[in-house]
Amino acid sequence: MTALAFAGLAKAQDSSAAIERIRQKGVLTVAMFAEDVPPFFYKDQGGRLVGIDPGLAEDIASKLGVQLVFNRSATTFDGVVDEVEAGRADIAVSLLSDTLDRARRVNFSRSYVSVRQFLLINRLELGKLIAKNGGGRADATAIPAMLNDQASSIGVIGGTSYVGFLKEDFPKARTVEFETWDAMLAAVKAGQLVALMYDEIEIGNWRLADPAGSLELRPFHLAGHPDTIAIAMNRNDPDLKAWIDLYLQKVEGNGFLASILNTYLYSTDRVLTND
Amino acid sequence: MIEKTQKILGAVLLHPVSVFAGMLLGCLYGWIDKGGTPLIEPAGQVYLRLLQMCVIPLLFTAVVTSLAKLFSDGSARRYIGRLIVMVLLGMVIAGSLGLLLGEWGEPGAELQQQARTIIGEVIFRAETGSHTAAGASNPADIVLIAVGIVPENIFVALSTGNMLAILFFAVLFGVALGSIGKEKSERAIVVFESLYETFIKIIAWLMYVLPLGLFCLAYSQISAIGMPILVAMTKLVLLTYAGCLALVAFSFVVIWVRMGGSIWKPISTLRETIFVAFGTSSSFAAVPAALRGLKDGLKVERNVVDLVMPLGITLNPPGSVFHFAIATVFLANLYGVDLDAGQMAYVLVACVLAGIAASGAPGAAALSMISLVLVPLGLPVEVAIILLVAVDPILDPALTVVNVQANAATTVLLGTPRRGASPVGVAKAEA
Repeated sequence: MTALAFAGLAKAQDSSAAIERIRQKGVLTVAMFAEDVPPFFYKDQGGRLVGIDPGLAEDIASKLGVQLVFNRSATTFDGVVDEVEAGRADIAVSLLSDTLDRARRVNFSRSYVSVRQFLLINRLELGKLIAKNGGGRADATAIPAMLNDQASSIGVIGGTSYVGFLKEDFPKARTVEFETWDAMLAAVKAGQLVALMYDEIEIGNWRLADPAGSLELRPFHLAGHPDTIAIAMNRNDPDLKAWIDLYLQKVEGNGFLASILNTYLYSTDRVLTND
Repeated sequence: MIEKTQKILGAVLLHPVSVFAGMLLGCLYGWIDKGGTPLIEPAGQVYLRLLQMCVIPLLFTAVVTSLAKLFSDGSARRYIGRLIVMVLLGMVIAGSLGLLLGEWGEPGAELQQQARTIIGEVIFRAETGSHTAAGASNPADIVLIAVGIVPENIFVALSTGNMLAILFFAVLFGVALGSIGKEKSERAIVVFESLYETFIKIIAWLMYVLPLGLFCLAYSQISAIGMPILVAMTKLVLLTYAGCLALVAFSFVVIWVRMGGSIWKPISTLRETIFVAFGTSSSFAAVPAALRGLKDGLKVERNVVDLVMPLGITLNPPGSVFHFAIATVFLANLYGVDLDAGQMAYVLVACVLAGIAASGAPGAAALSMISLVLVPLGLPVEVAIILLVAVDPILDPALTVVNVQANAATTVLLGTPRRGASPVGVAKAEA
């Protein structure tokens, strides 16, 4: 009993040491996905890393009174979680979905933004599906129901939370995992996939990069499937989680978070649907 | 003195040069001003509403009177079969021309990247900007349309302007009135005739303001046209106009061959109808002018004009059939889909059905009837509707002229004796 009490105390001392540890190092190491994903993290024209996540990370480091260092070694989003779990980064601020699977390995803060799940559907393949189903409506409930079929191949990027979302939302459809966005986009354009599934960020980026693309592909918001984004930290750092939750509560209250989201995420050219 | 002034004023305002000048100036000012003068558009709307104000009672009284007369003297049967054959033939000709022009001109093939970008942007903006476009992409429910033809309450149908339901009731009422015996029906027919003449009089007065009305309407039409999308879809627009011109020319040739005399006579008699149809983009608004032109100018049998023109305007839209056919080929080109002979035959039949369904539907809902053609082909309906709505302000005037003119030709075919033949039915019907 006494041994257990001592073990608990020791753990609590370790746990409460996270902020102290960072302050003593003088450095906050933030894990971030290797590739740029505007508007969450990308290099501006001057080569400076900007976006929602660097903005938050810089503010957190400054509030802790330490330097900021990015660890961008992870080439998948699950890999970003690995960096935090292994202690190679203090936190991850990297458009990270707070899935239940990931939450078994790391702690998540309260969510600071919610992005919507989207399908990008090949219009001609959808037309064939509608014809096969004898016409009918092509609305918010009919399209997902039509796509949830063994004959439908839907693409997703491997190592992202969307692998799980896809299996959950379209259990009957065939999941095709891709390593890169470009390969997945080419497959859906060629009609090898009826659709791909990703967040509104990537779909918005595609829209800006390929304005003619709407002729072939149709963005489709999967209503009622929000993808909540949060900051990850090591499970042994509960003091850091409490501090970051408090930090997020305060920046939500004082308007800093809204201002950063309005600057990067909700500019009019990025809006996909007005629902 | 006053009478003389009225006569001069009438001669000036009703002259085709004034009417044409009104429309042309409206186009030019609309082009330059781009909708900057706030009062012109509402003024055009007021004029259009004035024209349309009398259309429903006019069509109703015309159909009832003509059917009652034709049924009371037993001459109706003669027309029905011929009317159906001619209407179907007209629509098949229009649809075939649409397919031929589409196959020959390939309006949606090999578009420049810039044009594809503009089209992509238009689609994106339409899908994100409003729920109407997405809603309109739902395939038309032909069963609901068919059920809607029978009015639950004729007064509701009249107040909501449900043309198919009103026409259904008018036909039934006219046939019943013509079947109750001359003694009983005579007075009612006289009342309906008086009402009909009254509405025609109101429309005749409104024609004096036609140059000004067309100025306002043309101004609004031109301001509404999005130039970039027009440029991106140039080939479709040009081919559609070429097809409309061919169909209108064909209808004039049909009238000329049937009536004999100079080809210029039908053209000059029906010019007002064409101006109103083109300027207002409303077939119904052009009906009164067509009725007057056919009866007073071309001396076509009155009962046939009063029956065939209203029926035709509501149920016989060769312009829409042509539009759906060429638009289907455009979309197939756009997506690199080759239509085989069987699919072409299907498109033709489906376009006729979609055209009939569209004739009873208002505005953009009429364009959504193209879903009847596209869904079984697996082509994306939502894209078709967005693009057709985008170029509608420029195509609709020409397609309206085709609809009105084709029905005028059908009326002439049914209501005018062949050259050299004795005037069948005229004496009987007018007796």
